[in-house]
Amino acid sequence: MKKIFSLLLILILMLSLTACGTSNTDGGSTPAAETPAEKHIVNLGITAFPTNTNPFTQTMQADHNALRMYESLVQQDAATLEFKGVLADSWSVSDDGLGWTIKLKEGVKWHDGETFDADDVMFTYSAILDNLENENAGFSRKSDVKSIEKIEKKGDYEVLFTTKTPVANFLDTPLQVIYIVPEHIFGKMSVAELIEFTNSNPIGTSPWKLVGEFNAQNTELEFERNEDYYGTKPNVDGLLFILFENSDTMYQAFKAGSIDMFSPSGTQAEELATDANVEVIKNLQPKLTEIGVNSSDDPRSTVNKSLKIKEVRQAINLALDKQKLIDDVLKGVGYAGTTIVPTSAGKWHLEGEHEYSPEKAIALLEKAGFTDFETVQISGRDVKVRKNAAGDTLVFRLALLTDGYAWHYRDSALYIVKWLEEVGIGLELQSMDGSALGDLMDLESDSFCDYDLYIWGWTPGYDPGFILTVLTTDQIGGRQEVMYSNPEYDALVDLQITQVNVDERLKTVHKAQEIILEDAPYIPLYYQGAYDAFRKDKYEGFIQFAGDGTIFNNETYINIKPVAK
Amino acid sequence: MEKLNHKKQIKRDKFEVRMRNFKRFAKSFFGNRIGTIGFIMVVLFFVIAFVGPKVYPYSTIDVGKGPMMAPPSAAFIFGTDHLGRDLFGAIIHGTKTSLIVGFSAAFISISIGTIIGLIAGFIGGRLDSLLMRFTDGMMVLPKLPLIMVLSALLGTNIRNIILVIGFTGWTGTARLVRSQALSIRERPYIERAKSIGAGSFYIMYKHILPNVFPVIFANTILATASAILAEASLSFLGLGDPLSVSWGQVLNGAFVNGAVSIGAWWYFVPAGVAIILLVLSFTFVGYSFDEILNPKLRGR
Amino acid sequence: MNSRYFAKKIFQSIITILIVLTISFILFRVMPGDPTSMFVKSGIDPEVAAQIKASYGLNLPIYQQYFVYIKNALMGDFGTSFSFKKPVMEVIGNRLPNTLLLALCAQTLAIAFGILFGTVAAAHRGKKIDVGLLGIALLIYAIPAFWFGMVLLVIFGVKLGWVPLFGMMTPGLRNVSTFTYIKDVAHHLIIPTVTLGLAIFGSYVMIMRSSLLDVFTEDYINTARAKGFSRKYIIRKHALPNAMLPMVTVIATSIGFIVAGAIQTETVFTWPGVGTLLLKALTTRDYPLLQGSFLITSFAVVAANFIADIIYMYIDPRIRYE
Repeated sequence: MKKIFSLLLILILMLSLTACGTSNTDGGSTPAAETPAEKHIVNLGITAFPTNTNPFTQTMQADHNALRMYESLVQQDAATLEFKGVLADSWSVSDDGLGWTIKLKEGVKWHDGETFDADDVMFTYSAILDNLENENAGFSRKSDVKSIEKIEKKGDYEVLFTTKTPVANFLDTPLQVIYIVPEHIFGKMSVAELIEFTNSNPIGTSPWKLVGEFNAQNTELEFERNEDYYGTKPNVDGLLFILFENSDTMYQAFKAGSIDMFSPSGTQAEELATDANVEVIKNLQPKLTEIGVNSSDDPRSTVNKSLKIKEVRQAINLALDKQKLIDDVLKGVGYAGTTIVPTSAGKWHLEGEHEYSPEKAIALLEKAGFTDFETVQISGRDVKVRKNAAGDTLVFRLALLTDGYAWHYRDSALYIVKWLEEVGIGLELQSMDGSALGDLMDLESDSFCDYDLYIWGWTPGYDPGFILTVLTTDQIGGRQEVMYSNPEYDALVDLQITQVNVDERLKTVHKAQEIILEDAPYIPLYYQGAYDAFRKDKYEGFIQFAGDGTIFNNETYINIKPVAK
Repeated sequence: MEKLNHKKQIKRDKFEVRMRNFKRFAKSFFGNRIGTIGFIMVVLFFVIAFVGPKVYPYSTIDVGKGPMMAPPSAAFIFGTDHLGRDLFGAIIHGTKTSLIVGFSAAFISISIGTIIGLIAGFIGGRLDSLLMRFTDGMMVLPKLPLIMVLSALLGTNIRNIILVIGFTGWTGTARLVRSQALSIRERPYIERAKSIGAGSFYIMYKHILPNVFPVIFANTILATASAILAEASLSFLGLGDPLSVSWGQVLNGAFVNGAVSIGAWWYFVPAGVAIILLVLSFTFVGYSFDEILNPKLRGR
Repeated sequence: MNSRYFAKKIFQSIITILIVLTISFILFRVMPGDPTSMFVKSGIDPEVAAQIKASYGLNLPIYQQYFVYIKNALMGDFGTSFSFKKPVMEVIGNRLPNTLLLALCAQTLAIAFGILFGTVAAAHRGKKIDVGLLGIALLIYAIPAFWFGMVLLVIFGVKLGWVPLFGMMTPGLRNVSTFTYIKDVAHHLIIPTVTLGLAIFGSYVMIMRSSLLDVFTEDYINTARAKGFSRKYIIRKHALPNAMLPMVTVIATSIGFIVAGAIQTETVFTWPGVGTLLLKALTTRDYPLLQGSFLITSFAVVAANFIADIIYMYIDPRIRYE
């Protein structure tokens, strides 16, 4: 017994000794400073970790970080927004606008030393194109290639795409969004294998090679510079993406110097503004954050059918004081939401002001027959909600994401509950994470459409082609989460993509937005800008996308270099 | 007439005996300083919980009522949270939630525990060992993960949280009641009741239950304390209803919104202290009860 | 005698494990919705889904499903995690050492101080120091571990800057010596250890105190006293070893409490252990992972109780001759 006791004491002593030792010598500095000086690895803070490294099944925005070893044919320049060739050397369009001849770069090597050629491009596109009708082939990029009629190999370094109609944004979709994968690795697999492939040792062509195996359970994702890269090589030796469970710990790590760049919240940005070693910039290329209104009439869905009434959806929109959300929740970085195409799309965004009018909302609800009231219990409070003659009450469930990036959804939700109660609509909050909500939107799921409203967002690029398609009928079960279907809208979206004349396309794009404004299947809350912050005492050469956008882009990663001491 | 008076007399006697017992109990309870302090604190919490909300209005959706993350001031004596809500109001209104969850969950678990314990202890035999094996199994199950899993499967609202905590916390009571029932079963008057043909349920209800009641009562108070803690943990882990007012919910808000890293102590210190005080007052009362009712502990 | 006791304890543990498995089976299959959705991620290729269903016996009648389930669970096959797309055992296995490290350090701390303060309290029974220590033990029972962790973080992490605020090591730590690495982990370990240790320390003080008081009434202590040995000598040589007996059981059964405390502590400090994994499985509805981590924590508790019984058998002579 005595022995055990003394053993315990020794253990405790050792523990406290190491503890004291570290706290005395270390203080505020971090061991990261001990990294040998010749290696410069940029540490980037992220709040969502990629789920896979297979470009064919990539769905989440976070997955992009795990696909940095891949390249597409062309890419939009971060500074000029002009398209430039990546794996493509040059391209030309036939006079009828249907034929796109792409000349590929020669001498490009995959990370394993194999030569890149037209076969890789042929394979990547054909894999998706050949399975457009195959329901079991869950390629995430199907809708991006559906404008392509066929693809032909014209030589070892030349391919020809033929489209069904002229395509206005062909360089953006599909050429920029489809990552080219190595045929010598993916080519041997069956369709089912391609979908299930975990691709833990991805081989790409980009300036970045993945270090080690990819594992979704890791909290760090490291890339090293590809010394054999054919283009401009990065200045730094590597990139290290580090996952943080919440934005608070990420902020602490940044202050301690463990990470070099991250996106702080509004409050954190204010706190960082006084730090001389830190640069905080505003990212004004905003993302769309919307309330999605489930209008499913699937018999399995438990959705409140009152949401099928257009006036109810419009009333929800009118009842929201969106500018207050910008001021209070986003701390001023963003714009009140109106249409589905955010302000980051420049001219494509339909100008207009959000109208906040509880009175009009009430008038609409009364017009729709919701003139009676009933008091219901929501989370222990008595809430007076409207009901109609048939006894349908306006109580909806709002799915609220728990993910790290959704902090502003959760804060906004309380404001939304308050405003909607003021017009007689009750909201119950249901917490879940993004993948759980995604499951509720899956056509095959048993709990299909078991939600009424949700808050989520999109990060569309400059071209409106993508964001408009998220509400077309053919995207139900794909990118669409609100089961909205309007043939007129579908026709406009199909039309704009074929309008090579910019002015004509602009008219169509605006008209499509007007339909969504009227039907309100999406209630855009705000176009959320963000803050980005980096350690200016350690790195320089950050490039903001389009001049006022995010610094998290490929150009930054290639351009940044350590500050000369 | 005579008979009736006799009955009345018996009733009065019984009443007097009970009163005398109660007085003796009250005397020794309030003679115990810890018990008295605990009792006063519990009463205070009840006043706060049921009078407070009437005189001090607050709602979880009162966003933007004050400045955001502001330290205590004259207008907001406990400061405000990250959405400008009044934290003092949250503490007042959260008291009720804690008490309701605590008592309801404790009531459920004590009821289940008492029934299982009585049946096992009184009927005995195979049923006893079967029930006790089951109790052992439940006892070993790690409570918090079980509660978490259950609430995730059932959905998180106050009612489910009460049910889940109630249905997982009965094992200790069952064991305690069983051992009490076992010892009482052997007493001569039970034998007598049996011999005159009293049914099992009658004996259990009439003779055993009143005798194990004090133990159950002390246990209820302690169970309430642990249910309050369980609710706080559950809400803190983000498994509560974001629209409900509870101390755990406040602590979750503080944790998730970075009160720790910017040193906003007012966001989480009052809620934590409130939990500690409430739990402590229940433990004080429970302990003194135990000390009086459980002579083995006396003099320690 | 010995072997009979041993067999009885093994039998009891097996029964308990079966109860745990059954409860979990009922929870995950019979409760809400289609049970297959708990094992097959929706949106998966129907052929693959059918394969997975078959391997878990989900196409069989419910009682046969039960046996397939028991068999799989006993062989450590809890299925494939939805979010990590890896066997549940592997996912948990990656996190388990981190939790064990934290739990072990916390236990060590709690036991050492629990014995120390329990002994002090018992030796000064009824005096101010005893009442004070008792009060502290009661207070500690009332403090939620996660809240205490937050308070410690603000004081020692934010205000004083002595300890890091989260995680198990400095993020992005690369190319450093083993010593630096160990130092870094130890630095991160301090506050979580104190938080979790304190959560269990209170009950150790109480048990140690009352078990010592029990021992003090035994005859051999009186004999020793009569022989004129000093108090300190009696406590150290006679009372302590005997009073340690109940402690063994309490320490083992506190494993269950540690599991609960660890979930809270790991969450506050973003410690990459099984507790945070369980919470993540919950929020992402990763049912196989949820079930796996639930079962494994339960098994750990059963195993700890069994070990306690066995140790008890060796150190308590009364049981041996039962």
